[in-house]
Amino acid sequence: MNKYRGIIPNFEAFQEECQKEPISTVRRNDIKARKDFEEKLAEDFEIEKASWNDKVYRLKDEKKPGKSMLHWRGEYYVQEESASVPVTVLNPRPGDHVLDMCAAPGGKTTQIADRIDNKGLVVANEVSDQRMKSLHANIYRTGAYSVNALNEDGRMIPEDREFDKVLVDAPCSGEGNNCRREDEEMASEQESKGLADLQLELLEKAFNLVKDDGVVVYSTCTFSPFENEYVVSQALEGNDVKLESIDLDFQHERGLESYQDSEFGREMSKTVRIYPHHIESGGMYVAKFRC
Amino acid sequence: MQSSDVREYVKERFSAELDGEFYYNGDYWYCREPEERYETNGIRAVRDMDIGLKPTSYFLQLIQDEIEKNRVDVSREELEALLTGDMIEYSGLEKGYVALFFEDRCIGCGFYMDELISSRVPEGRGKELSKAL
Repeated sequence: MNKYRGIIPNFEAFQEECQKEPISTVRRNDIKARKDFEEKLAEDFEIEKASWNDKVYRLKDEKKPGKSMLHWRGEYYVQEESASVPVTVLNPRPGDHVLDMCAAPGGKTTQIADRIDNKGLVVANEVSDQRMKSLHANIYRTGAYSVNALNEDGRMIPEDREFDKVLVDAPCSGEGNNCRREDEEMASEQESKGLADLQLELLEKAFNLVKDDGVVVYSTCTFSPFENEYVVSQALEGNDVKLESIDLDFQHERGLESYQDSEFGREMSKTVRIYPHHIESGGMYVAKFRC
Repeated sequence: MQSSDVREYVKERFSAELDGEFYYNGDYWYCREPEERYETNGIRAVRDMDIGLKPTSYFLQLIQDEIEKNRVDVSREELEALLTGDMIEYSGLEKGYVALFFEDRCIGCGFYMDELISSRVPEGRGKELSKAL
Protein backbone atom coordinates (compact mmCIF):
# COMPACT_ATOMS: atom_id res chain seq x y z
CA MET A 1 0.00 0.00 0.00
CA ASN A 2 3.04 2.25 0.26
CA LYS A 3 2.53 3.21 -3.36
CA TYR A 4 -0.48 5.24 -2.21
CA ARG A 5 1.35 7.14 0.54
CA GLY A 6 1.26 10.27 -1.61
CA ILE A 7 -2.48 10.23 -2.22
CA ILE A 8 -3.95 9.02 1.07
CA PRO A 9 -4.05 11.79 3.69
CA ASN A 10 -3.25 10.64 7.24
CA PHE A 11 -1.48 7.59 5.85
CA GLU A 12 -0.47 6.34 9.31
CA ALA A 13 -4.10 6.10 10.42
CA PHE A 14 -4.87 4.30 7.17
CA GLN A 15 -2.07 1.78 7.74
CA GLU A 16 -3.07 1.25 11.35
CA GLU A 17 -6.70 0.59 10.38
CA CYS A 18 -5.65 -1.88 7.68
CA GLN A 19 -3.92 -3.97 10.32
CA LYS A 20 -7.00 -4.24 12.54
CA GLU A 21 -9.59 -6.99 12.43
CA PRO A 22 -12.55 -5.69 10.42
CA ILE A 23 -15.72 -4.85 12.35
CA SER A 24 -18.71 -6.98 11.39
CA THR A 25 -21.57 -4.84 10.17
CA VAL A 26 -25.09 -5.73 9.08
CA ARG A 27 -27.78 -3.85 7.21
CA ARG A 28 -31.38 -4.15 8.38
CA ASN A 29 -33.69 -5.43 5.65
CA ASP A 30 -37.07 -3.80 6.23
CA ILE A 31 -38.76 -6.13 3.75
CA LYS A 32 -38.45 -8.87 6.37
CA ALA A 33 -37.46 -7.19 9.65
CA ARG A 34 -40.10 -7.15 12.41
CA LYS A 35 -40.76 -4.11 14.57
CA ASP A 36 -38.71 -5.53 17.44
CA PHE A 37 -35.70 -6.17 15.17
CA GLU A 38 -33.27 -3.98 17.06
CA GLU A 39 -34.25 -5.46 20.41
CA LYS A 40 -33.83 -8.99 19.06
CA LEU A 41 -30.50 -8.15 17.39
CA ALA A 42 -29.26 -6.79 20.71
CA GLU A 43 -30.12 -10.12 22.36
CA ASP A 44 -27.69 -11.87 20.03
CA PHE A 45 -24.95 -9.25 19.63
CA GLU A 46 -23.48 -6.13 21.18
CA ILE A 47 -24.65 -3.53 18.69
CA GLU A 48 -23.94 0.07 17.75
CA LYS A 49 -25.76 1.98 15.01
CA ALA A 50 -23.77 3.67 12.26
CA SER A 51 -23.94 7.44 12.67
CA TRP A 52 -24.85 8.11 9.03
CA ASN A 53 -27.27 5.29 8.24
CA ASP A 54 -29.88 4.06 10.71
CA LYS A 55 -30.17 0.71 8.95
CA VAL A 56 -26.52 -0.19 9.49
CA TYR A 57 -25.43 -1.82 12.75
CA ARG A 58 -21.91 -2.59 13.93
CA LEU A 59 -21.58 -5.86 15.83
CA LYS A 60 -18.74 -5.55 18.32
CA ASP A 61 -16.21 -8.38 18.53
CA GLU A 62 -18.40 -10.62 16.39
CA LYS A 63 -16.81 -13.04 13.96
CA LYS A 64 -19.92 -14.93 12.87
CA PRO A 65 -22.65 -12.36 12.17
CA GLY A 66 -24.46 -14.82 9.89
CA LYS A 67 -25.25 -17.30 12.67
CA SER A 68 -28.60 -16.11 13.96
CA MET A 69 -32.28 -16.69 13.35
CA LEU A 70 -32.67 -13.09 12.19
CA HIS A 71 -30.08 -13.66 9.48
CA TRP A 72 -31.63 -17.01 8.55
CA ARG A 73 -34.95 -15.25 8.08
CA GLY A 74 -33.39 -12.47 5.99
CA GLU A 75 -34.06 -9.69 8.49
CA TYR A 76 -30.52 -8.44 7.91
CA TYR A 77 -27.75 -8.74 5.36
CA VAL A 78 -24.10 -8.96 6.38
CA GLN A 79 -22.47 -6.09 4.52
CA GLU A 80 -19.46 -3.85 5.05
CA GLU A 81 -20.53 -0.40 6.16
CA SER A 82 -18.85 1.30 3.20
CA ALA A 83 -20.47 -1.16 0.77
CA SER A 84 -23.87 0.35 1.50
CA VAL A 85 -22.73 3.80 0.28
CA PRO A 86 -23.19 3.33 -3.52
CA VAL A 87 -26.91 2.53 -3.18
CA THR A 88 -27.32 5.42 -0.75
CA VAL A 89 -25.86 7.68 -3.46
CA LEU A 90 -28.04 6.06 -6.16
CA ASN A 91 -31.07 6.87 -3.97
CA PRO A 92 -33.64 4.53 -5.54
CA ARG A 93 -37.28 5.35 -4.79
CA PRO A 94 -40.50 3.31 -4.88
CA GLY A 95 -41.67 2.93 -8.48
CA ASP A 96 -38.18 3.21 -9.97
CA HIS A 97 -36.84 0.75 -12.52
CA VAL A 98 -33.25 0.06 -11.48
CA LEU A 99 -30.49 -2.01 -13.07
CA ASP A 100 -27.67 -3.48 -10.99
CA MET A 101 -25.18 -4.44 -13.70
CA CYS A 102 -22.72 -6.54 -11.65
CA ALA A 103 -25.01 -7.86 -8.97
CA ALA A 104 -23.67 -11.00 -7.23
CA PRO A 105 -23.73 -11.83 -4.39
CA GLY A 106 -26.65 -9.43 -4.07
CA GLY A 107 -25.85 -7.07 -1.21
CA LYS A 108 -26.56 -3.95 -3.23
CA THR A 109 -29.40 -5.56 -5.20
CA THR A 110 -31.28 -6.45 -2.03
CA GLN A 111 -30.49 -3.02 -0.58
CA ILE A 112 -32.14 -1.45 -3.64
CA ALA A 113 -35.21 -3.72 -3.31
CA ASP A 114 -35.49 -2.67 0.34
CA ARG A 115 -35.12 1.04 -0.54
CA ILE A 116 -37.94 0.83 -3.11
CA ASP A 117 -40.02 -1.30 -0.69
CA ASN A 118 -40.40 -3.91 -3.47
CA LYS A 119 -42.43 -1.33 -5.43
CA GLY A 120 -40.90 -1.02 -8.88
CA LEU A 121 -38.40 -3.27 -10.62
CA VAL A 122 -34.81 -4.22 -9.94
CA VAL A 123 -32.96 -6.09 -12.68
CA ALA A 124 -29.98 -7.85 -11.13
CA ASN A 125 -27.44 -8.87 -13.76
CA GLU A 126 -24.52 -11.21 -13.15
CA VAL A 127 -22.15 -12.61 -15.77
CA SER A 128 -20.90 -15.59 -13.75
CA ASP A 129 -23.08 -18.73 -13.66
CA GLN A 130 -21.46 -19.74 -10.39
CA ARG A 131 -22.12 -16.41 -8.70
CA MET A 132 -25.75 -16.47 -9.83
CA LYS A 133 -26.35 -19.08 -7.12
CA SER A 134 -25.39 -16.74 -4.30
CA LEU A 135 -27.38 -13.95 -5.93
CA HIS A 136 -30.51 -16.12 -6.10
CA ALA A 137 -30.08 -17.35 -2.52
CA ASN A 138 -29.87 -13.80 -1.20
CA ILE A 139 -32.84 -12.59 -3.25
CA TYR A 140 -35.01 -15.40 -1.84
CA ARG A 141 -33.79 -15.04 1.74
CA THR A 142 -34.40 -11.30 1.84
CA GLY A 143 -37.81 -11.51 0.14
CA ALA A 144 -36.70 -9.18 -2.65
CA TYR A 145 -39.51 -10.13 -5.01
CA SER A 146 -39.16 -6.97 -7.09
CA VAL A 147 -35.87 -8.40 -8.39
CA ASN A 148 -35.63 -10.16 -11.76
CA ALA A 149 -32.29 -11.87 -12.34
CA LEU A 150 -30.39 -11.79 -15.62
CA ASN A 151 -27.30 -13.85 -16.49
CA GLU A 152 -25.49 -11.79 -19.16
CA ASP A 153 -22.19 -10.15 -19.80
CA GLY A 154 -23.10 -6.65 -18.64
CA ARG A 155 -21.69 -5.21 -21.88
CA MET A 156 -24.20 -7.26 -23.89
CA ILE A 157 -27.44 -6.34 -22.10
CA PRO A 158 -30.05 -5.56 -24.81
CA GLU A 159 -30.83 -1.87 -25.10
CA ASP A 160 -34.55 -2.26 -25.75
CA ARG A 161 -35.40 -1.25 -22.18
CA GLU A 162 -34.41 1.88 -20.27
CA PHE A 163 -33.94 2.29 -16.54
CA ASP A 164 -34.40 5.25 -14.21
CA LYS A 165 -31.18 4.38 -12.40
CA VAL A 166 -28.22 2.10 -13.04
CA LEU A 167 -25.60 0.90 -10.59
CA VAL A 168 -22.21 -0.17 -11.98
CA ASP A 169 -20.47 -1.73 -9.00
CA ALA A 170 -17.65 -2.77 -11.26
CA PRO A 171 -15.35 -5.79 -10.98
CA CYS A 172 -12.11 -4.40 -9.58
CA SER A 173 -8.80 -5.30 -7.98
CA GLY A 174 -10.42 -5.14 -4.53
CA GLU A 175 -7.63 -3.29 -2.73
CA GLY A 176 -10.17 -1.72 -0.34
CA ASN A 177 -10.73 -5.12 1.26
CA ASN A 178 -7.50 -6.88 0.38
CA CYS A 179 -5.45 -4.32 2.31
CA ARG A 180 -6.70 -6.01 5.50
CA ARG A 181 -5.65 -9.48 4.39
CA GLU A 182 -2.01 -10.34 4.82
CA ASP A 183 -2.09 -13.18 2.28
CA GLU A 184 -3.59 -11.08 -0.50
CA GLU A 185 -1.29 -9.55 -3.07
CA MET A 186 -2.11 -6.08 -4.30
CA ALA A 187 -2.93 -5.62 -7.97
CA SER A 188 -0.13 -4.41 -10.23
CA GLU A 189 -0.56 -1.21 -12.19
CA GLN A 190 -0.80 -3.30 -15.34
CA GLU A 191 -3.67 -5.38 -13.89
CA SER A 192 -5.51 -2.23 -12.84
CA LYS A 193 -5.12 -0.71 -16.29
CA GLY A 194 -6.47 -3.94 -17.81
CA LEU A 195 -9.50 -3.84 -15.54
CA ALA A 196 -10.05 -0.19 -16.44
CA ASP A 197 -10.90 -1.16 -20.04
CA LEU A 198 -13.68 -3.47 -18.84
CA GLN A 199 -14.90 -0.94 -16.26
CA LEU A 200 -15.15 1.79 -18.89
CA GLU A 201 -17.05 -0.50 -21.26
CA LEU A 202 -19.53 -1.37 -18.50
CA LEU A 203 -19.96 2.27 -17.56
CA GLU A 204 -20.55 3.37 -21.16
CA LYS A 205 -23.08 0.56 -21.56
CA ALA A 206 -24.87 1.88 -18.48
CA PHE A 207 -25.18 5.30 -20.16
CA ASN A 208 -26.98 3.60 -23.07
CA LEU A 209 -29.36 1.80 -20.71
CA VAL A 210 -30.47 4.73 -18.57
CA LYS A 211 -33.29 7.14 -19.44
CA ASP A 212 -32.64 10.78 -20.31
CA ASP A 213 -31.96 12.64 -17.07
CA GLY A 214 -31.43 9.29 -15.32
CA VAL A 215 -28.68 8.50 -12.83
CA VAL A 216 -25.73 6.15 -13.14
CA VAL A 217 -23.58 5.42 -10.09
CA TYR A 218 -20.14 3.93 -10.62
CA SER A 219 -18.37 2.29 -7.69
CA THR A 220 -15.38 0.10 -6.93
CA CYS A 221 -13.83 -1.20 -3.74
CA THR A 222 -10.29 -0.37 -4.76
CA PHE A 223 -7.85 2.52 -4.33
CA SER A 224 -6.20 2.41 -7.75
CA PRO A 225 -6.76 5.72 -9.59
CA PHE A 226 -6.57 3.78 -12.87
CA GLU A 227 -9.78 1.95 -11.93
CA ASN A 228 -11.46 5.01 -10.46
CA GLU A 229 -10.74 8.59 -11.58
CA TYR A 230 -9.15 7.47 -14.85
CA VAL A 231 -12.28 5.50 -15.82
CA VAL A 232 -14.58 8.33 -14.79
CA SER A 233 -12.56 10.98 -16.64
CA GLN A 234 -12.54 8.84 -19.80
CA ALA A 235 -16.29 8.35 -19.51
CA LEU A 236 -16.80 12.11 -19.20
CA GLU A 237 -14.69 12.79 -22.27
CA GLY A 238 -16.50 10.46 -24.60
CA ASN A 239 -20.13 10.80 -23.51
CA ASP A 240 -22.81 13.44 -23.04
CA VAL A 241 -23.02 13.00 -19.27
CA LYS A 242 -22.28 15.15 -16.22
CA LEU A 243 -20.87 14.37 -12.80
CA GLU A 244 -22.95 15.34 -9.78
CA SER A 245 -21.27 16.14 -6.49
CA ILE A 246 -21.70 13.54 -3.77
CA ASP A 247 -22.26 14.67 -0.20
CA LEU A 248 -21.71 12.21 2.61
CA ASP A 249 -22.41 12.66 6.31
CA PHE A 250 -19.14 11.10 7.45
CA GLN A 251 -15.44 11.59 6.93
CA HIS A 252 -14.23 10.92 3.41
CA GLU A 253 -11.87 12.32 0.75
CA ARG A 254 -12.68 13.84 -2.61
CA GLY A 255 -11.59 12.13 -5.83
CA LEU A 256 -8.09 12.79 -7.17
CA GLU A 257 -7.52 15.47 -9.80
CA SER A 258 -4.25 13.86 -10.88
CA TYR A 259 -2.03 10.84 -10.24
CA GLN A 260 1.52 10.27 -11.44
CA ASP A 261 1.59 11.66 -14.99
CA SER A 262 -2.17 11.56 -15.46
CA GLU A 263 -4.48 14.58 -15.15
CA PHE A 264 -8.11 13.68 -14.42
CA GLY A 265 -9.51 17.20 -14.07
CA ARG A 266 -11.14 19.27 -11.32
CA GLU A 267 -14.48 17.57 -11.85
CA MET A 268 -13.10 14.58 -9.95
CA SER A 269 -13.60 16.46 -6.69
CA LYS A 270 -17.32 15.64 -7.14
CA THR A 271 -16.49 11.96 -6.62
CA VAL A 272 -15.60 10.42 -3.27
CA ARG A 273 -12.98 8.11 -1.81
CA ILE A 274 -13.65 6.27 1.43
CA TYR A 275 -10.63 4.84 3.20
CA PRO A 276 -10.70 2.17 5.92
CA HIS A 277 -9.85 4.65 8.72
CA HIS A 278 -12.83 6.88 7.86
CA ILE A 279 -15.54 4.55 9.13
CA GLU A 280 -13.50 1.50 10.18
CA SER A 281 -14.65 -0.28 7.06
CA GLY A 282 -13.39 -1.33 3.61
CA GLY A 283 -12.24 1.13 0.96
CA MET A 284 -14.69 2.44 -1.63
CA TYR A 285 -14.79 4.87 -4.55
CA VAL A 286 -18.10 6.33 -5.80
CA ALA A 287 -19.02 8.62 -8.71
CA LYS A 288 -22.52 9.81 -9.67
CA PHE A 289 -23.44 10.69 -13.28
CA ARG A 290 -26.51 12.53 -14.57
CA CYS A 291 -27.18 11.39 -18.13
CA MET B 1 -53.83 -24.11 -13.43
CA GLN B 2 -53.82 -20.35 -13.90
CA SER B 3 -52.01 -17.68 -11.92
CA SER B 4 -55.42 -16.49 -10.77
CA ASP B 5 -56.01 -19.94 -9.21
CA VAL B 6 -52.78 -19.56 -7.25
CA ARG B 7 -53.84 -16.14 -6.02
CA GLU B 8 -57.20 -17.61 -5.03
CA TYR B 9 -55.50 -20.50 -3.18
CA VAL B 10 -53.34 -18.10 -1.16
CA LYS B 11 -56.39 -15.99 -0.36
CA GLU B 12 -58.51 -19.00 0.58
CA ARG B 13 -55.88 -20.92 2.57
CA PHE B 14 -54.16 -18.01 4.36
CA SER B 15 -56.64 -15.13 3.96
CA ALA B 16 -53.77 -13.26 2.38
CA GLU B 17 -54.53 -10.65 -0.26
CA LEU B 18 -51.45 -9.73 -2.28
CA ASP B 19 -50.64 -7.05 -4.81
CA GLY B 20 -47.75 -8.79 -6.60
CA GLU B 21 -47.96 -11.00 -9.71
CA PHE B 22 -47.77 -14.79 -9.93
CA TYR B 23 -45.73 -15.92 -12.95
CA TYR B 24 -45.49 -19.55 -14.08
CA ASN B 25 -42.06 -20.90 -14.97
CA GLY B 26 -42.11 -24.53 -13.81
CA ASP B 27 -43.33 -23.24 -10.45
CA TYR B 28 -45.25 -20.09 -9.60
CA TRP B 29 -43.02 -17.11 -8.91
CA TYR B 30 -44.12 -14.06 -6.97
CA CYS B 31 -42.83 -10.93 -8.64
CA ARG B 32 -43.56 -7.41 -9.90
CA GLU B 33 -42.98 -7.22 -13.65
CA PRO B 34 -42.32 -10.67 -15.09
CA GLU B 35 -40.77 -11.21 -18.51
CA GLU B 36 -39.52 -14.34 -20.22
CA ARG B 37 -36.10 -12.80 -20.88
CA TYR B 38 -35.09 -13.10 -17.23
CA GLU B 39 -33.61 -16.21 -15.66
CA THR B 40 -35.84 -15.70 -12.63
CA ASN B 41 -38.65 -13.28 -11.85
CA GLY B 42 -38.96 -12.52 -8.14
CA ILE B 43 -39.01 -15.45 -5.73
CA ARG B 44 -40.30 -19.01 -6.09
CA ALA B 45 -43.62 -18.89 -4.26
CA VAL B 46 -45.91 -21.83 -4.91
CA ARG B 47 -45.26 -25.31 -6.30
CA ASP B 48 -47.86 -27.45 -8.04
CA MET B 49 -47.58 -30.84 -6.27
CA ASP B 50 -49.56 -34.05 -6.81
CA ILE B 51 -51.57 -33.31 -3.70
CA GLY B 52 -52.17 -29.67 -4.59
CA LEU B 53 -50.49 -26.31 -4.33
CA LYS B 54 -47.66 -25.94 -1.82
CA PRO B 55 -46.32 -22.54 -0.70
CA THR B 56 -42.56 -22.21 -0.22
CA SER B 57 -41.14 -21.24 3.15
CA TYR B 58 -39.54 -18.10 1.71
CA PHE B 59 -42.89 -17.01 0.31
CA LEU B 60 -44.73 -17.53 3.60
CA GLN B 61 -42.03 -15.55 5.42
CA LEU B 62 -42.47 -12.75 2.91
CA ILE B 63 -46.27 -12.53 3.30
CA GLN B 64 -46.26 -13.13 7.07
CA ASP B 65 -48.08 -9.87 7.85
CA GLU B 66 -50.97 -10.85 5.56
CA ILE B 67 -51.47 -14.35 6.96
CA GLU B 68 -54.67 -14.55 9.00
CA LYS B 69 -55.64 -18.20 8.61
CA ASN B 70 -53.88 -21.54 9.10
CA ARG B 71 -51.17 -19.91 11.17
CA VAL B 72 -49.58 -22.20 13.76
CA ASP B 73 -47.53 -20.64 16.56
CA VAL B 74 -45.00 -23.03 18.05
CA SER B 75 -42.73 -22.96 21.10
CA ARG B 76 -38.97 -23.35 20.89
CA GLU B 77 -39.26 -27.00 21.94
CA GLU B 78 -41.93 -27.66 19.32
CA LEU B 79 -39.90 -25.92 16.62
CA GLU B 80 -36.80 -27.93 17.49
CA ALA B 81 -38.86 -31.12 17.32
CA LEU B 82 -40.33 -30.17 13.94
CA LEU B 83 -36.90 -29.37 12.51
CA THR B 84 -35.61 -32.80 13.50
CA GLY B 85 -38.46 -34.47 11.64
CA ASP B 86 -40.87 -35.08 14.52
CA MET B 87 -44.54 -34.18 14.41
CA ILE B 88 -46.43 -32.17 16.99
CA GLU B 89 -50.05 -32.47 18.03
CA TYR B 90 -52.50 -29.79 16.95
CA SER B 91 -56.23 -29.60 16.31
CA GLY B 92 -58.93 -27.56 14.67
CA LEU B 93 -57.51 -26.93 11.20
CA GLU B 94 -58.44 -28.12 7.73
CA LYS B 95 -55.99 -30.58 6.18
CA GLY B 96 -53.33 -28.76 4.15
CA TYR B 97 -50.35 -26.48 4.35
CA VAL B 98 -49.90 -24.09 7.26
CA ALA B 99 -47.59 -21.21 8.14
CA LEU B 100 -45.34 -21.99 11.11
CA PHE B 101 -44.58 -19.05 13.43
CA PHE B 102 -42.04 -18.78 16.24
CA GLU B 103 -41.86 -15.69 18.44
CA ASP B 104 -44.20 -13.86 16.03
CA ARG B 105 -41.90 -14.59 13.09
CA CYS B 106 -42.88 -16.82 10.22
CA ILE B 107 -40.41 -19.67 9.91
CA GLY B 108 -41.93 -21.36 6.90
CA CYS B 109 -44.23 -24.07 5.66
CA GLY B 110 -45.75 -26.92 7.64
CA PHE B 111 -48.38 -29.55 6.88
CA TYR B 112 -51.46 -30.38 8.95
CA MET B 113 -53.22 -33.74 8.78
CA ASP B 114 -54.91 -36.04 11.33
CA GLU B 115 -54.31 -33.60 14.18
CA LEU B 116 -50.57 -33.56 13.56
CA ILE B 117 -48.26 -30.88 12.20
CA SER B 118 -45.04 -31.68 10.35
CA SER B 119 -42.41 -29.32 8.96
CA ARG B 120 -42.05 -28.64 5.23
CA VAL B 121 -39.08 -26.33 5.71
CA PRO B 122 -36.38 -27.74 3.36
CA GLU B 123 -34.05 -30.06 5.26
CA GLY B 124 -30.86 -28.07 4.67
CA ARG B 125 -32.50 -24.81 5.67
CA GLY B 126 -33.99 -26.52 8.70
CA LYS B 127 -30.55 -27.68 9.84
CA GLU B 128 -29.21 -24.14 9.44
CA LEU B 129 -32.05 -22.82 11.58
CA SER B 130 -31.51 -25.48 14.25
CA LYS B 131 -27.91 -24.31 14.59
CA ALA B 132 -28.97 -20.67 14.77
CA LEU B 133 -31.62 -21.18 17.46
